[in-house]
Amino acid sequence: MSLVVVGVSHKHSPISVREQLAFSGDRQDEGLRALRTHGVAEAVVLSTCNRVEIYANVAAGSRGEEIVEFLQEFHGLEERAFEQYLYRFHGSAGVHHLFRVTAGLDSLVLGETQIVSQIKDAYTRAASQDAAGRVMHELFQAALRTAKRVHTETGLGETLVSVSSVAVDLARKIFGRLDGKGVLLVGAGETAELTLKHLLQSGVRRVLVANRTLENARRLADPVDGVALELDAIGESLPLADIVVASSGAPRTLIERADVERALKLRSQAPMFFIDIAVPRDVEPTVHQLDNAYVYNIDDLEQTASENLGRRHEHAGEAERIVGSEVERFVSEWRSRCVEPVIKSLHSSFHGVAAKEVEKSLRRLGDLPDDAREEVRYLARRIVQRLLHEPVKQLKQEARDGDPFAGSQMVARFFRLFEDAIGEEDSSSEKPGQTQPQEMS
Amino acid sequence: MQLTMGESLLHGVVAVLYLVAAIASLRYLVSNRDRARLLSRVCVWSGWGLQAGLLVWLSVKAGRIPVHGLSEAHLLLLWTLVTIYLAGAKRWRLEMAGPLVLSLVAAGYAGSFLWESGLSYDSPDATGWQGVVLAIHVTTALIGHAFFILAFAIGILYIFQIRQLKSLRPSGLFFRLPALEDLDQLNLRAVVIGLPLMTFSMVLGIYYAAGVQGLEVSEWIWHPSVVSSAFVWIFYTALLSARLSARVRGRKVALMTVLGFIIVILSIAMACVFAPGLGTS
Repeated sequence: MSLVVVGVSHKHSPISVREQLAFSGDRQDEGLRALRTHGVAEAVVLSTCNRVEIYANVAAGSRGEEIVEFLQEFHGLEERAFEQYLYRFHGSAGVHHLFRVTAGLDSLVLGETQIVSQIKDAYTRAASQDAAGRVMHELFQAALRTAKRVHTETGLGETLVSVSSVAVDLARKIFGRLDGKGVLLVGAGETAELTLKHLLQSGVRRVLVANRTLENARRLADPVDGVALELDAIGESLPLADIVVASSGAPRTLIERADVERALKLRSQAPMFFIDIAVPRDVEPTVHQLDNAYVYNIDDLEQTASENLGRRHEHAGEAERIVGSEVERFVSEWRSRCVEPVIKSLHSSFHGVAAKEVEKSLRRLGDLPDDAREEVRYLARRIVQRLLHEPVKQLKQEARDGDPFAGSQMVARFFRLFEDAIGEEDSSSEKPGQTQPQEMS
Repeated sequence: MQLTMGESLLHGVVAVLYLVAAIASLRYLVSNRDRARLLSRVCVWSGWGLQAGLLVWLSVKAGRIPVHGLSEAHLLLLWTLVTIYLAGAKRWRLEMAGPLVLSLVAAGYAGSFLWESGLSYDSPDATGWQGVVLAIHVTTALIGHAFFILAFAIGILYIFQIRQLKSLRPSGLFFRLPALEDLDQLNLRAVVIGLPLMTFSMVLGIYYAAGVQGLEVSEWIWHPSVVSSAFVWIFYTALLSARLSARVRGRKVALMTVLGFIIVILSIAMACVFAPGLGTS
């Protein structure tokens, strides 16, 4: 059995293709069940806005053709036009791909962490459908551990990279906790709404919405128990606002320096943060010169977001190095474990032969004291252990460093392991079908 | 009380531990490396523990708390500062002020080595009840000063954060340091704790001079250590009054705490140079 990854992502395919192949809601469970009928032992389906991927444990030597067939059948696609957009990874390349995806290194926004929970969900769903077994469990746990290491040890996900999230982050850096803070929305643009949404999620409670038309102000204010105002009331309500999100696009500035000076005085100099995303600007630029007043316009926010993204790219190399070392460690451990059935069988076979021969000799020797018999048995076991020590060590080493199967297959052939050749004592040996290690090379 | 070679050597180890902790702390702040954070924690706790052990040992050896002279008080001040830093590292996120606080401590230690009297422990000039009063007077003054120095470190962080915000191009470090309001509150808290301690120390100092030693007012009122302490007290009282009445806030308060630090250092220097005989604050 071996690991194969088949999928499409934002990097190589248009949204129209990803839409065709996406698994939404219950369709994912259905897909996981259907995959079994295509000879897939284990599978995890990852379906997000930016990628659709199937991680599968398939028959050794498979190039993932059964997954492509499944995709075509399951989504009822008459042609295989989507195939040109598909990528496939096998063995350790598949492991590397999953680790990179989980760490956010393959994401549209480099280093984003939403993918971690999406991958967790995908794995949990597969496990709940009994579609994920030992291989997928170990693989996905290792991927999640790697992502955690990447985000802890590098600054990859440390900084925020969208205008609204940067604005909220800046607000947090001014006020600390945003619980109970007041926000005044001037105008009701799309980015302003998104920023308000983020602010509400961060604990902001008091919302004032000022707009040219009171109707539109109410549309935003009412669902959040806010207060709707007309533009003329901005000056009066300014002292109540810790954060001002301005996006009216009015032809003249709506918030003058004198208004802010007065508001600061009434607020006992408590800081005020102006997020001015309007063009032309709503807040007089000189307000930024006042003590305890901070004005960030759309250019400043975009610039900060872009610099943050640049900082993420600086950390990407380090993150790739961590991913590389984790992949190497995982694959090496996995390969080493591949020879475990062979080693177990080898021990069992040798000890079986030794025990059989010892018992024959003991029968021939006649009456021997019990402690002498036990000593002979112990001696035989020690000899077997000593004889096998070096070959087992070499077998493990070879599996870690190179082809995990070459050595173990040779040993299995030489000693006729898994063939019931040992006799009655070897009845617990695992059969090839049960014990064949998973390919990860 | 003269330090033995071994005791001086251990003080040297403490100084090196604090210096390494300061460097590791800076490395953690800049690069977010957990190993640097761990190294800083291990060094600062080791230095603090070793210094505590030394203080206990010297107290036992001398039969009194080692606060009877300027060099003694100086070392105890540094230890108090590290204690406050460690106590508030998690709760008040003082860890982020680590590079500054620990650098100050390491520099303070270096100052002790360069000081003419080195690390020698001065002889006691008061015993019995007088000694207890003097010990409490000096200890409370030291803790008060330690809080003022902490307020300075927080003030520096605040000014750094303000500059970053006002530049409109905040760096990655800006996003790692505490929020402005948190720093402002922390600064206020440090002064709110430090000032009553300082007040109590001064009252006790007056009682010690007038009540215990029986000196005339004219004999102690213009003593350099009294004048400098009074100046520190007036400055921080004015600062706290302005802050609580909301006349000044934010950057101005931070600048004032930086100025306060200079006054504290000058006050200690004045006491060192001119007042070897009347308390230490």
